[in-house]
Amino acid sequence: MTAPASSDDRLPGDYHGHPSYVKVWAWLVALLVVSLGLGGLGNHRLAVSLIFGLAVVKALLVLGNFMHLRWEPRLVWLVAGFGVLCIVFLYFGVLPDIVLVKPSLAR
Amino acid sequence: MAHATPLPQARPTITGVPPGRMALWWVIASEVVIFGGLIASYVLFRVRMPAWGESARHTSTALGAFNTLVLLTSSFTVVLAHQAALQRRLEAIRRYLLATIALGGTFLVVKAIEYTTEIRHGFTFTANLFWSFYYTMTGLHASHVLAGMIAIAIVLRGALRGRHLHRVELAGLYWHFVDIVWIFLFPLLYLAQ
Repeated sequence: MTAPASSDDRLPGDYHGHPSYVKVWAWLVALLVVSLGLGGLGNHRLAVSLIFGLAVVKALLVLGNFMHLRWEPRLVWLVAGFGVLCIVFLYFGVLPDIVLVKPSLAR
Repeated sequence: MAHATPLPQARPTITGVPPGRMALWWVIASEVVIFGGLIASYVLFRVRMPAWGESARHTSTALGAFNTLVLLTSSFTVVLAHQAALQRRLEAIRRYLLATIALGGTFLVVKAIEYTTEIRHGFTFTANLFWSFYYTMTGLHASHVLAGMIAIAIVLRGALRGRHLHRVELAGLYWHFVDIVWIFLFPLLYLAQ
């Protein structure tokens, strides 16, 4: 991999840092392998929780380093988080109907 | 090394973020609602009907894992293309963007193989609600992969002439988002059995 551009060579829109992309990719692959290994855990609920926890970590690695969100101003964070907030409202708004509905109606 | 015209100077904006990049983040936010809505609905149904785990056993974890590796690697190549664009290295941009398109193509071929196998075993779109969700979510995602490949090919065409190099980053942002969607679809549809 080539060295990142020096700070003197930066363009106005390039205020991002440039982490070691090879390391980030290696972490992503390692976490994928761990996720696959977790399928063998006896405790199903724990395995599923860990697998989804690792998925969140992988997504944050891509967001922060490949998409450079770590270096973006708060406004970009708000825009990116807006969609997620909508989904959280949807999920917890509908959840009571799913959890409280009688089993016979759920089939 | 081939020489390119300099990257266009970003116009000053109130946000301090280049307009193209800001627009892409809005596109991504709207896409989050589309995919997030589907994923949230799937999870809600899954919570209510654990029997879906039985259907998930029929998806191929090996092929799904391979495709995850392919997409993670394509995110890596497209970010290298972005870095090459900042340094105006046209040959490197060409190499990395072509690699990204090839990896996207590989993903779609593997997905087609999966679909063929599943349909042959009777797991069609209407088999049950799990398979309806499966085909809707993976099909919508595959269409985004295809759209990303087309966008990257268009960006590549300009980049080879040293034009619009800032678009390499924008295409990359979209591609990374497609990768993140798959990062969540893979455990949902393949691992959580």
